[in-house]
Amino acid sequence: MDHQTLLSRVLKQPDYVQKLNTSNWQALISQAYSTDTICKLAQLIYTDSLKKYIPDSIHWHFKSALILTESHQIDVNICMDKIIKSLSGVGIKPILLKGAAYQASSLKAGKGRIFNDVDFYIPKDKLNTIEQILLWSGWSYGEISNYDMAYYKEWAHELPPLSHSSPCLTIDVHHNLIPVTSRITIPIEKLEQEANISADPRFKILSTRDMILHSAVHLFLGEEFENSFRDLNDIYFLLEEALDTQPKFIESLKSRAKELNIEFILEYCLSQINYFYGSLPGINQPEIKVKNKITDKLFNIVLDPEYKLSQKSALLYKVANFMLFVRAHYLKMPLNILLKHTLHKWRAGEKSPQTHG
Amino acid sequence: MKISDLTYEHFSHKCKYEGIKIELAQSVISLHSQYPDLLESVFSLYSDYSVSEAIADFKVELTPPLSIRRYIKKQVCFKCNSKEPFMPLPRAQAFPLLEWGLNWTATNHINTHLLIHSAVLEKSGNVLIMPGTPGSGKSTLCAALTYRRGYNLFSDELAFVGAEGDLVYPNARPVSLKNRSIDIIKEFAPDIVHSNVIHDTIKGSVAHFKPPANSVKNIKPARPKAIIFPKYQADLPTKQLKLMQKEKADTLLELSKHCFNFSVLHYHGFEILGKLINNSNCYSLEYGGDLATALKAIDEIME
Repeated sequence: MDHQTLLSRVLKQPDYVQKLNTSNWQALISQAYSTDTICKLAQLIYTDSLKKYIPDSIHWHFKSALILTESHQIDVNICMDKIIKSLSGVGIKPILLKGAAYQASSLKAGKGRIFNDVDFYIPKDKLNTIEQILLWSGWSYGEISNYDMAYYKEWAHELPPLSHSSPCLTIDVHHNLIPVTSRITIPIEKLEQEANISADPRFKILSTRDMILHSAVHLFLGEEFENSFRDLNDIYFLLEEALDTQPKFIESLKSRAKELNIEFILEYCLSQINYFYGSLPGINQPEIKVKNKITDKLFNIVLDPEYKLSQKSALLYKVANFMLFVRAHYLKMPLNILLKHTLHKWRAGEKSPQTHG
Repeated sequence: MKISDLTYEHFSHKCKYEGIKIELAQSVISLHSQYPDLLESVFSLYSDYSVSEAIADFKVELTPPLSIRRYIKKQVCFKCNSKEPFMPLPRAQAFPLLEWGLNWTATNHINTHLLIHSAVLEKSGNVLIMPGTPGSGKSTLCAALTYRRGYNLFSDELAFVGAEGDLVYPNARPVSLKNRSIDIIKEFAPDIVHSNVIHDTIKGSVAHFKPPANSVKNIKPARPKAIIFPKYQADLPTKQLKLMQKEKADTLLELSKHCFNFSVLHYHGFEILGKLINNSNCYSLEYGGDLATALKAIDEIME
């Protein structure tokens, strides 16, 4: 079933803006802000050929978004320089992940993609050394309780966010791609083996199919869906660009998912891509066999910018979010740890520490 | 059509069921809410604003949270395009929350101008910018200049400086006053419409005063003339002041700390700020309790 929202339709096919009426523009602007894709949209439609179709009164949104994009790129470069400067003595090339990887590799998915943290992966046996070096080079953990620190160290797949004493984005240092307590494990060495040098030769990036799978794992095992549409859109752009040059890319992606034992995640992912962006070459809708139709339906809801924005669907949206939140904890934490964790958080009256990807 | 041209019933019906589009000087908001007290405050303080037919820049909602706090110890949430930048506040604070939310909306979306945290007033085509830390008395001075000295209110909170640094854009909205300033201004300008005083907010007691109709109508930018850093000094004798010229370099350093999007605009922000300061006379003004003395000094600078 195909249910392209206005936003996904325009992101997929920017010249569709020629057909928009005033109320379409109204919806498009709200949806883009609501899903943090306004900068991406600006890259695609505030162009010499399409600008003229945008109503004058809303031009400023796109101008403003392009200013933010440019500034964000400068900030990311500054942050990457700092990471390299700190890590130069260790002799390993970090593998950039997510937004930073898309940007460093000049992929379409990276254009106009705004992110708050630079994520990178380093092998677990180097983790302690690298943590020490980062702490000596001006990075530090913000205020973090002993419990949360232990949570990250024992159960998560990354260090708590590190921020720098001088202005810089925060960094997330990963030693795995999903929490080590998860029911699902991903043989991380296999991803390392396929990683390449990025367009910025100081860093490595995952192969495109691994990038997609990593993003999908993050999205479909995630417990928080505020940025979910944006993440799905990243996957769409990665897929589209790969399909341009490799007609058999989907097969390669599927066999990789099988190898990593995360086929069910890829199925959800392709199903949602199909739902929001229509069919892509190589993906036949009837062949997509999702593990659980209800979960699939819940993802339809939490990913949909229209549900997110409408007052009428606020309750449904919240319930779907909550059900997927429970599912994510079930998948990522064994019951004994989950109970211990929930009890602690309930007694302390806090929220879970946010881990990403 | 202005909001005052609508009946209250029509206005509140629109807010409840479809959203009402209000034209602010720099953006159009579409406001959605069911709260009668909030709608009454908006209806009275925003009565001179136009109802817009244009595309709304921001969809703004004030709604009860989807939690137990919908029913017990009630709270209110602010949403802009589905995003909730603030924790919910006690239900009674809906109107101040709207005002704070609208400030957030501007400072987090608009990078086409340099945005400075300051009061901004205009007189005979010349703009006065008064940045100030909390407690400096900038809002009190701003209200006094607006309601008693005939200055045109550009904003009590935000300076919109154009990309060339030579023009400042108006963005008149209700003037927010806190604690003692509320009584001072009520006494000083007793005929001005204002919202109920809301107590125990994060900023203490808060009330909002209606902007003059002329300021709402005016949407033309003007040239900067003076930047004054006011400072209310309780230990100074009431009728005394210390007015000092401020070095331009010092002004730049200090003013950069009051900018919201200085880091987003990068070197361009630095250039805009430099030009703005070169176009302005810069002062620091310490004043004792007497408003009239301070106003006279400001008048002389703006002559």
